[in-house]
Amino acid sequence: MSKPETKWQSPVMAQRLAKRYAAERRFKRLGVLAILVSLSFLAFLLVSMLAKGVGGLDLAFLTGSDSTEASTAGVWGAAKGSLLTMLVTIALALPMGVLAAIYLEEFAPKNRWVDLVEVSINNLAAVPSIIFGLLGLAVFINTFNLPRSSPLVGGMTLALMTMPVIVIAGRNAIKAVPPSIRDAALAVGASKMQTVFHHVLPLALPGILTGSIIGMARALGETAPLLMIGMRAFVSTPPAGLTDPSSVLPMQIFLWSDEVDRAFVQNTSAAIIVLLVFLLAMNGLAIYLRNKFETRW
Amino acid sequence: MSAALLLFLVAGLGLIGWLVARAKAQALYTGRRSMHSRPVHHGWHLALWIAIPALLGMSAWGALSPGLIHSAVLADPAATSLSMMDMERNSILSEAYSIAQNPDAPVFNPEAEKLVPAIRAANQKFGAIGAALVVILAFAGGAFGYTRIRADFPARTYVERLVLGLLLIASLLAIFTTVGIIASLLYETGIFFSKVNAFEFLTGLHWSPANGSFGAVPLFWGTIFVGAIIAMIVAIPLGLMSAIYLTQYASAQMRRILKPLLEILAGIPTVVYGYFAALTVAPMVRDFASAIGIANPSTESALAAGLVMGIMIIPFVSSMADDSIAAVPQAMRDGSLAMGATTSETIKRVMIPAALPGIVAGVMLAISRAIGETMIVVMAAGAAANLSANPFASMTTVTFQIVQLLTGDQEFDSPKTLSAFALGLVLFVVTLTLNIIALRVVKRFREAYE
Repeated sequence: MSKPETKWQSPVMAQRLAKRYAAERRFKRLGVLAILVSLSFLAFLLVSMLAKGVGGLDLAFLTGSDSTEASTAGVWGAAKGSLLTMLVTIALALPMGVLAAIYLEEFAPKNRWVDLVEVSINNLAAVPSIIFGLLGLAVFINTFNLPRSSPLVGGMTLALMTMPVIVIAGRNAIKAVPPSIRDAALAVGASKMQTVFHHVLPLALPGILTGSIIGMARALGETAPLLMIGMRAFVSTPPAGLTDPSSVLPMQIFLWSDEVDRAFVQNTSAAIIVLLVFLLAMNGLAIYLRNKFETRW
Repeated sequence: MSAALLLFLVAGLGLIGWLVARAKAQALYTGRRSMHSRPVHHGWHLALWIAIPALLGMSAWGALSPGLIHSAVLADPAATSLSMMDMERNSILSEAYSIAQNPDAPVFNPEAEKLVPAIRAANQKFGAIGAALVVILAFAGGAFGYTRIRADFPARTYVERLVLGLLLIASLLAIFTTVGIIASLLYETGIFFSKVNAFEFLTGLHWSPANGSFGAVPLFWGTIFVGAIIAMIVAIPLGLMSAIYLTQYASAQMRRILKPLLEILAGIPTVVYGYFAALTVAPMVRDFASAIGIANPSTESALAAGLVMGIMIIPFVSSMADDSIAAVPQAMRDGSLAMGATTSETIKRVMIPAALPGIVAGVMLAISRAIGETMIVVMAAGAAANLSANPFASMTTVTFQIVQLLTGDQEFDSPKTLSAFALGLVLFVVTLTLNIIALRVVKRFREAYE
């Protein structure tokens, strides 16, 4: 009895297999290519900014304020504006975001109102930032007559934008705390509120802080909503308080990029380096916190 | 007395109250089960009784006192010589107020200066009354709270109820924000549509707000062309392929390095992308256009903005695709591989079709982010409202026009300014719809495999 020819060994089959393996390799290479293209764009962006801006980074630039003359202009005024704005933002968004996250995760009953809150938080996190600027303009400036261009209004606007991010991060962190912790606290007689504030919240805090820092980093780089509320003042002295007209770092970059004078190119790139260093530091801190305090239950 | 000092005082009184109440409650303790609440709760209860009435009184007085000061100033003999013309009188008064607050303020009108002493006196008088009121309220609240410290007093219940209320208010803030956005946009848009026909706004082909023609179709087209077409042509293949490589081919170690690197792209501020687009990419695109024989290409082009926007969106598409591919059950993948399919065949024929709803939802979210993106288009896309499909043409978008209309000199009820809110409303509705659909698809998709 003759064995039927094994088709797997035939030249036709080998050819087909080779073709399929070639397709496999092509596909894999496409994947590598996609990542390489994205990363090389990133590298190109960073290197070109560094190359153009690093020469402009000196003490005078870091301590000066905006000026009509490129050689005397500096970023300290804008950086201080950013700092004040971020202070307002974190003072409002962090407590409110954490409290809302606690309520939604630990206390909220299951009903349509709570669903509505959840839907609106999820949607607010995806609303274009410029819409928050329109809200700030219509409510804070036109209705409440708060001072235009001030870190106060800028910080409040960015707080509205950052709060949903903090709520979402906070809920995930609280959700990750195992129920056994709550059960243990409740079993020895703690009230629900004591359980949450004495046991759940401290354990969730690293996660909440990581999320908040990332949200703050996003707010720090935000320009569009602040453009709406007029934070594009020409500020030749750093703002002294929360209600002084001021500018922020990304806004300074935008304003300088509009200058006709070619000498401002160096300033703009140098300001971008300063901004990126801040963002890098914040994200680095977030990653450090996560690695240091993250508990796998 | 300044508001900050007063706040500080109230906080100090609260702290004293907290300590006093805790000490008294501790003294009441006679053994196990002798008290309803712990001393700390009594402390908080008293502190809240001190702070809340005082703060309420402070904000009420803050709302009331400007009116009282105003009438006191007008009753002053120095004000009798003021002109009866409302406009003039108001301008003098507001100048006088600013001088009274800040002695360095420039003086334009001598009459304003005469009013300054009267204003200062009134400020001082009513400030003192307010401070006294706040302190009295703090003590009254504190005294009432103090009398209630007893062994069986349920301080904890009251304090916790208040905290729960606070938590509820914090979570309602999200609804207030949403309602605030919708209400303010609708209100301003309503005024705009009372001046300009809504139908004309949504279907008109000519956009030139300076001349009073508000046909927004070129803006909608520009937004879609830049954000939903060019950017997606860049972002979908790159993002999807990156996600596939990272989830299916890369080793765990490579993934740990590459994924955060890719995510840096999402963390770079948009103003940096905008600057990069305007300074580096746009001239390249222009040179490329003239090289392929397009006459007089403009520096600002839809292509430059769209390209950079697409790069910005890559990590977004990639992480959404990553999630939805990871949600496909391992059994489906194993089944396909066991039948002899290669990895790429498995991905193309099994994984991607199975993950498609999630990927499509991710793309929708990416589009909603791209069309709401502002700084890149402001810096690189141009101001001319063109209705063309030429990627090298300068093209304007909804977000660009909002910025343009609201950053110049503005008078608040001109149709020009109001149209920005109408554009904002359109943008909000479109992005909201995309988000809601996408989130729903993702949810249903997750449930399908669970």
